[in-house]
Formats: sequence, C-alpha cells, structure tokens
Amino acid sequence: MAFPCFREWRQRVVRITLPLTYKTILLVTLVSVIGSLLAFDQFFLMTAGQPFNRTASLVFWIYLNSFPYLKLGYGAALSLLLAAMVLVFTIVQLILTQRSRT
Amino acid sequence: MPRRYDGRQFLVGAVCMAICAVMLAPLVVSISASLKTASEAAAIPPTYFTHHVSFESYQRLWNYQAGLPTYLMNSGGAAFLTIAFCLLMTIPAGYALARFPIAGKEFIFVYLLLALIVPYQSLLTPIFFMFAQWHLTNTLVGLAIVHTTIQIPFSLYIIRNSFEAVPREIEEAAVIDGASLFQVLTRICLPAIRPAIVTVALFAFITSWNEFLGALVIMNRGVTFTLPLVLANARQETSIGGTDWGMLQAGITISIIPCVLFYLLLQKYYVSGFTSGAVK
Repeated sequence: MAFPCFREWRQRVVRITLPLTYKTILLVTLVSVIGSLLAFDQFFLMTAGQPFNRTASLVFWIYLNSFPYLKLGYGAALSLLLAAMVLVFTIVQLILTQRSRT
Repeated sequence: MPRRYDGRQFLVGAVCMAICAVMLAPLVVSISASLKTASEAAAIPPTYFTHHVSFESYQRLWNYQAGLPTYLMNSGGAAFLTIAFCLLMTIPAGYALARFPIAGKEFIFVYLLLALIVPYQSLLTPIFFMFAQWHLTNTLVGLAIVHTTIQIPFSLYIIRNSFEAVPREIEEAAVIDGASLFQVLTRICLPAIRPAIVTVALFAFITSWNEFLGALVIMNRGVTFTLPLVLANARQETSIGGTDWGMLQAGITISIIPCVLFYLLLQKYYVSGFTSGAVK
C-alpha cells in the first residue's frame, strides 16, 4: 500500500519540502550548534574532562583555567574567543531570520 | 479528504511512541532507582524495576550535609529573586519602549536585545571578580543577578511585544475616565499582558532552577549551594561505598518536580503568552 507511493513521496520531499524549509532547517541547526558550543554541565558532570582533559569542551576548559587553575588571563582570552565564535554564528542566524521573515 | 486509516498512520504512531519511550526512559530509571534500597541501587548488574519500594534514599538526601531544606531554599530563593528582578526591570522598560515617545526607541530596544548574542559563559570570569569585590559571591542576591542577566533580553522581548499588542483605545478610554499614567499601567495594561508575565516568570524560574555553571562559579561554600550543585557534589564525592546513586536519583527526582509542576499549571498561559508576543 505505502510502497508504490514511496517514489512520489520522495520526490515531494526532495523537490518541494526541503527547498522550502531549508532556511528553517539551517536556523535550527545553527541554534543547536550555538547550544553545543556553550555546553558545560554534561562535560563537567560526566567526565570532568578526564582522561587528561581530552573530553573538555570549550566552556569547561575556560572554567578549568579560570577557577581551579587560576590562570585568569588565559581564561579571559579564551572567553573572548568563545564570544567571537558565537558572534559569528549568531550573525549568520540573524541574517537568516531577517530573510525568512520577508 | 476523508481520513483513511491505512497502515501508515499506525506506523507513524508506533514510531512516535518509540521515540517517546526513549525520551522517557531516563526519567523512569531515575524515579525507579530513587525508590530502591541502597544495596539494590548499587547492585551490579542493575535491576530494571524496583523490588522493594523504600524511601530511604530520600531520607538520606534529606539529611545530606546541610540538609535538603537548605538547598531547596537556596534554589527556590534564587529562582524567586530572579523572577522578581526580571519582572521589576522588564515591565517598566517594556512599557516605556512600547508606548513612550522616546527618541531612538527601536535602536535602544535592539541594543538591549544584543545581550542575547554574548554568551554569559564567557562573562563569568569578570562577573566573579566584580562580585568578589562587592561581596556578592556566596549570596542568593548575587546568583539571582547572574540569572537575571541571562534572562532579561528574552523577557524584555516578550513583555515589550505584548505591551504593543494592547489596543491603545483601551488606554485612551482609561485616560478619559481620569486614570493617571501609573493607573493605566497597573489597571489596564498589566491584566492585559498577564500571559506574557506568566511566560516570563516561568522561563525565569526554569532557567534559574536548572542553571549550573553560574551557580558553580558564584557559590563556593557548602551552605549556599543550590540543588544542582549539591547533586554534582554528591556525584563526585567518593566515600567508602562509592557514589550514592540512590540518593542522587532521589535528588534528581525532587529537582524535576517543580519544573514539571509549573509547566503543567501554567501551560495554558504560556502558550498564549508566546503567540500574543510573536504575532504582533
């Protein structure tokens, strides 16, 4: 029953649904990328960066350097780097939302 | 098109159910593990379902270090201070930005929203030093300030947009009836944007209740810990018997309850709050 429709369905998705929603898809992807860039809790709780800080995320690395290691300048520099990275993604996101509204 | 029930609908339903089951599985594991006895919670291999229902995990959690009530008070206190700060700051600001003839209003609004771009994670180091100078570390007010800064741009956006959605005619009618500016705000506008206020309060509560990194940086004395911090601490603490998983799961279960409760109670409001803010 569903089998002969599959070709039709695939064409509908590939030719119509995806082209019409790809901006939204990109937007959702960007939002989750930003969220992942800022991930901290999971890393802190599950692995604490071990073994040998190989599982440290960026925010966790900033935290580790700023507070337990007290390398404040390094931590602050990394913070700025993080802010810059997120800024790039956010600007792309803003451009996309501007376009999709019109 | 009349609805036909062919195999596909059942297939979609089955897939949705499977996804729900996967999503809910950790929750079920948490709750069932919190009801196990200590020996059963630590058993290897772990048991799927609780054999003997016991509340001793909750009892141990109640008496853990400074005691559960202290931590609940800390978490709740920070959350309610966050809600209060958010509303006290965004309601006047939102009203002014929606109604008053201020030069460059749109620019000010967008400028305030720019705070959304800067991740607060990258600001924690300077915030910590400022707070250390002003003796705000280890205080609930300090933590609430951090949570408020996270929450303000979003709150302002919602509140301002729903103030704009209030028809000016109603306000004009109130002014003709002799209401002062302040009375217009409190009697006319605030009741009209109640859904938005509920939305803002709900999100402020959930952010503050779940927030971990800020609390970790600001609070470093055991008595001032919030609930997530205590649980993280209990996770890392290695006593003779290892981590007390039963107690940990009990803490997780308890920390889930308020969020779910608030969501369910205010669901009706917060959905309409979103639309009333966004459609405008």
